Amino acid sequence: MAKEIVELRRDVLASNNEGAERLRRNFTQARVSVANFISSPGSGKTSLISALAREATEQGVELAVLVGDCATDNDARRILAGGATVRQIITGGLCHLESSMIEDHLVGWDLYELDLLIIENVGNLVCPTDFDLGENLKVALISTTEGEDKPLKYPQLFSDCDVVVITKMDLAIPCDFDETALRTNLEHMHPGIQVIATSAKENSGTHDLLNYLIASQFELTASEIASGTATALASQMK
Amino acid sequence: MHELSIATAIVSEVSKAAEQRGIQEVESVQLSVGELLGLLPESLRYGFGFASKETPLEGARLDVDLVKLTLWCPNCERVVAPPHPTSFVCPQCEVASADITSGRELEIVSFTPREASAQLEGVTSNG
Repeated sequence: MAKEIVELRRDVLASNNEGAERLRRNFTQARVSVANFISSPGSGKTSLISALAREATEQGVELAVLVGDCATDNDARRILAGGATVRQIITGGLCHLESSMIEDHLVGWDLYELDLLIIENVGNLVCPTDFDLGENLKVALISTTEGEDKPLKYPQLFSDCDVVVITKMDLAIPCDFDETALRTNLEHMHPGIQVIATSAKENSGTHDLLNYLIASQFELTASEIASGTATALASQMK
Repeated sequence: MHELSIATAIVSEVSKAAEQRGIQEVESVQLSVGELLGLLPESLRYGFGFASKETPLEGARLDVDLVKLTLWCPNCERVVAPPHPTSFVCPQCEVASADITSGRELEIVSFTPREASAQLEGVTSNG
């Protein structure tokens, strides 16, 4: 008898994806917007999230943050100082977060009390891209100190993300950062992709970014986001 | 590291499926991988060697089928293959498209049991 091939047709990451779908259902039900921040190490994720935390406190937005790192809880401490509810996920060397880690670290939090959950993934442009965490927004960050051709080098993330955030705009001039070249590269990779430029240091772009992150879950219109009414509407709809 | 995580997930999924079917040993696994994932078959096999130790997949062969990136070109109204996986433009009309039709796959297509005739008795393929 010839050897019989067993047809499986199963996604390699099916277990992770099932966990992510469970999370997504819970997030949608609780009307909390969830953003998965992915970037290289040192691109300014923690500083930006700290700035968003201060902005959230000012606007009365309930923000919680899950911070993934291979080791140490230094980032969680920094964000905590910004005023958000924070939990650290130490992956013990693993280069990305998986949906089961998110499920485990949400225990005890009431999602219904939150407007926004930011997940700071482990600094890495490759692996985190494959693992769905139940988020409604995959956010790719790129700093002005990195090359404008980074999207071309990491096509998987930059073609798959929902929004690109430029960080460290305060360093654009000393670093000879060419924003037009970056936008052109992104346009090749992901036509029509939304790009938001920020500086955590100078607190620019953070207001727009916060509103964008919240509004995405509530399907608000562009004009509502632009007029800054997203937060107010989001809390009304709760 | 990336490939090792993926290899571990493959071993876990196939072990589960083999156990459900009463299969004790797996000879090979057929995998479909989109080129956009940037996974290196050689690294994947290297990681698979470690991840499969003391499982039904120990010593199994990993067959990797790399799937090319293709896009739906809204201008030509057909599926096209860009010349390079970092260029999301139609090679004919040069219009950019974010509508990916293939290249993101990461699927265990099938696996082949070892000594299938003895082990597959009374078990039929679900495909």
